[in-house]
Amino acid sequence: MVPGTPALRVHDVHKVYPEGDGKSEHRVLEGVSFDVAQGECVALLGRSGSGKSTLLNLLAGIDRPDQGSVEVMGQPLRRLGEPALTLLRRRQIGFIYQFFNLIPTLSVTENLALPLELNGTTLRRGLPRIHALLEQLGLERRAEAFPDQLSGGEQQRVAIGRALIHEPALVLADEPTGNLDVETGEQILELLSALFAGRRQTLILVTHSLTVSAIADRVLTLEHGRLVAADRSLAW
Amino acid sequence: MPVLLRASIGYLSRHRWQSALSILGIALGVAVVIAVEIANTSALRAFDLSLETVVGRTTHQIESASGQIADARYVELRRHPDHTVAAALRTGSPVIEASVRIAGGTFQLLGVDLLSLPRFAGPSVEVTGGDLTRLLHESRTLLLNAQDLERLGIALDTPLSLQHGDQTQEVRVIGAISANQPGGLAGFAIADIATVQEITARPAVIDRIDLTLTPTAAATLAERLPQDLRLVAAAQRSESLRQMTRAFQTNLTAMSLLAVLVGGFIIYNTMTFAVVQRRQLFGSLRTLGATRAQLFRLIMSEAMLFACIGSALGLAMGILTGWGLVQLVTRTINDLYFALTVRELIIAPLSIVKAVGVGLLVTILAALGPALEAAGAQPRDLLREHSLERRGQQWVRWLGVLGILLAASGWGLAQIPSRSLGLGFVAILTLILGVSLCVPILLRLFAGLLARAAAVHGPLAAVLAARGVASSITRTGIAAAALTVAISSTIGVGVMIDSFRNSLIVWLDGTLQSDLYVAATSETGNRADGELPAALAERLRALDGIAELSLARTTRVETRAGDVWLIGVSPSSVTARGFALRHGTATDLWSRFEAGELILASEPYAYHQRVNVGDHIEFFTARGWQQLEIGGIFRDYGSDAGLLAMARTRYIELWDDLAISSLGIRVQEDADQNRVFAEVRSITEQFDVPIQTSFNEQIRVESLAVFDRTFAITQVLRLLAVAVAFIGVLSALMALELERRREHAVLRATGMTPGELASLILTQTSIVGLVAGLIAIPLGIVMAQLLIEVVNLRSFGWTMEMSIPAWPLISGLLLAWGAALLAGIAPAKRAAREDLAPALRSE
Repeated sequence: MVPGTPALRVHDVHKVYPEGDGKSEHRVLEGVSFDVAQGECVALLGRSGSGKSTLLNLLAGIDRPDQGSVEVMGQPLRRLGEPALTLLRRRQIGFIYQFFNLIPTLSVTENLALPLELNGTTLRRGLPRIHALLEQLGLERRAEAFPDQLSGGEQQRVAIGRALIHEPALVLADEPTGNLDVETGEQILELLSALFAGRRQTLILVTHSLTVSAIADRVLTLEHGRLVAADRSLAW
Repeated sequence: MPVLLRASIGYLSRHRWQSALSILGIALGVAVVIAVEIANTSALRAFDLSLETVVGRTTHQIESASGQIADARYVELRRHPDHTVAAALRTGSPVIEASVRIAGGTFQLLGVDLLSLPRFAGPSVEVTGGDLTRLLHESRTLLLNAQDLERLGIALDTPLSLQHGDQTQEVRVIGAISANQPGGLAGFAIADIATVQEITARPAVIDRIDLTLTPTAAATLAERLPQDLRLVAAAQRSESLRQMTRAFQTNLTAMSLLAVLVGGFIIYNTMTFAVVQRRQLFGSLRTLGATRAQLFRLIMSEAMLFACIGSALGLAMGILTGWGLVQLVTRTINDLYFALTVRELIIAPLSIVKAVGVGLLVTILAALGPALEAAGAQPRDLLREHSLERRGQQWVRWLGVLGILLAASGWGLAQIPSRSLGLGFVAILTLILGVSLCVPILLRLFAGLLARAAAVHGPLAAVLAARGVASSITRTGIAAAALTVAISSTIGVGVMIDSFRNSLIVWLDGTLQSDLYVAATSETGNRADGELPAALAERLRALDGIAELSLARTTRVETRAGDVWLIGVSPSSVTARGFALRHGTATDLWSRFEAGELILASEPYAYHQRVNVGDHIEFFTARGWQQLEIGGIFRDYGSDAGLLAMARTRYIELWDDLAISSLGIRVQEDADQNRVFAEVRSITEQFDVPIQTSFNEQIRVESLAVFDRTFAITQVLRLLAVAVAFIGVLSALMALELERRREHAVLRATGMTPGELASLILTQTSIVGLVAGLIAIPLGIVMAQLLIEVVNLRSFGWTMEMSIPAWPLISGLLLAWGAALLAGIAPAKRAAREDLAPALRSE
């Protein structure tokens, strides 16, 4: 990748979903364009139904735009087939979900080991890295616990750890505090800020909360599928 | 329509494949039950019709001790000086019968006195296209039923070949007979007595005399008949024939119930899935004020809807496949019991009620658990994710305890010294049900151990697969249980058949001591009970290369306990080896047997008649009633009807019957067997009677072929049970895939390729299949043991050595694995192709 290449380049992206009756359609995204530099933290702010999650899925290659292009670390996603997209997600992208989405049958350590193993590092070889991260996450005592034995905040910390453990270039967080109480949400935000402070990783934070967007370097506001503001002061 | 019901219908139509699989599960179960019912009922009805035709309005029959009555005796009786006897004889007709094949169809050839034809065909019998008197004047002329003529495309007055035994003769059908009675004489060829005597090469004899008597007249006649003749009630004869196939038909019914049991697992699985999927909806409904009873009714209504559609579909499928099954059933009855042709399918209302009843009952029982679970849960539990699975995880332990108790009870029931076949089947089904209830906890245990081992040494995917199986035990456990039941029955029946086959081979090797066999063609069942020409034995003895001849006469004789096959053997150097005797024979058995003091009884006879060595059997002989002592019990897989053996000299003494039914020829060691065979054959062909000549090996091969044909229907039923189990696994895995939709999407989003996800799912299904297969092996062996020691003994009176060959066990394990893997393909493909965005959004 050429130095200075943006971590993300989104150009004139459109996405349309058919309505329930199959005859009419719902325009979810209309001509969205923006770039995100490497190491930057960007918040995508908007109301429910504004198209934030759809945009996040397009950035991760989970969904494809009807028009326009998305480039991740200089790679145009349109040209990538499903296997290449999978490899891109496996190596370059980390996900943090609103509902944590931990694998219920794996322990905390094993959940963190999952991306490592998919990238060819066995659990045993990855253990030192896992332990170090668990310490940063404040979960060193919960290493062998299973998701259903953890509180919501703890689960989200594991989810953050899982998104960061293989050091992806891009981390996508979808409402990371959306399912937590205010106090726990704040703790998670602090943790995110602290973790990303010392890294060269790009973070895209989808949220409807101004508080959450406050930790971002830049805020992009989506309204009815259009980018209406790209500045903190214009944020919704 | 009530809103609750609308919500329910909406849910079912959204999960069409799950609903369809459930309906298919019920349908297959019901189809197997109705098909077996139809096959049994049709065979029985055909049997009854043929009996009705043969017996007609006959109330009694005169039979002789030797099985045939000379024409002259009949004339004597008609002219009997005792007026009562003569009058009774005037109410009836002499009859001679034979089983023949004409133009590819099997017929019962009935030789009757034409003046008494209305006795068989009804009072308004009509013969079209021919003059009845031609039957008397023209040789080898017959009448056939009009429908049979049309069905087989037979034209009147054209030469046709009739096959009797291995002899083919030319006959002509001179008229079509229409009878006003059920069946209209379908399957019968009517001829004059002389014609049948000529075709069967039994000149001047008849089989019996049919009579229509009042009870008083019958009682008087019975007292006044000569010593060698006896009067038998027609109904008694029919019942004893019907009894012969009863155990065989019970076995088929039990096999069909197994398919329903497996179907029950599918219904349970579907209903559990339907509850788990809608836990939040039910929780919301409960918080909105829906009562427990309403939820219970809702779920039970859904189950009943499945049951109704499944049963209707199953009935249609069963009726469609019934014909194929009828062919298999009648082939076995023909091989083992008596000649029978089924021309129509009988779909009795009771059979439909039974099959649908079984389908509904199993559905209600299977749906009861999930319905009570949903109705009994607190709204907060229903709203909480995985609360039902968590509860299911606790239930698994108790199910295991209940399973152990049931399995132990089943085993205990089998040990009760009873002769009840029904109790035997209840024992086996209880045992199977018990073990199947233990399957979920065993699967969880195994998956847990596997996960632990994989956590230390293996890849995370293996941990994920094993823990996935254990954590969804309500789903995977049910699939494994269904598979265990089906596979264990495959293994159990497979081991039983194998053991039986091995015992049969050992028995045949022991019994077939001669090199060549010559036998008169059989008239009934599978015994060579015809008569060889008197001069045959002497002519064969004179042949070059013959070391020894052993002679035997097989016939049916009357005992106090009813008719029985008797074989009179002239002892030879190999006689003793020819009987596979059970331990505990009388002292000096062979010398006393040869002297005619002792007789031998076959295992089935000894079992059914509850006799043993030292007991006496009373025979109706030409010398009146005579008692003989049993000196030994021998294995005989030739028939489950029972066989007695005595020295031929003693038989001749008691029945005045010098006839020979079969001859065993031992060829000199240095002689060419093929040459001797050809010479024997050329001698037998010089006689104008049907005679069969076979090598020892030919009889062996044919016997094993009959054995394999007998169990063909069992193989079909086993495969059907596996098919139902396959649907069960598929249904469970599809449900699991849907439940894990989000988890799979997360794995894919984290970087797992579609192939890796598919192999993860297939690993899970492999664990389910292999564990089911592993549990099925010991269960199958125990089943085989019970089938051999309880069911076979109680059904047929046979004992056999149990042998456990590796192949049925390995093939069972592979079948379980294969079925699970195959069932896993569709869910794996679905999961791999799942659209990630909506799957990740779903909560």
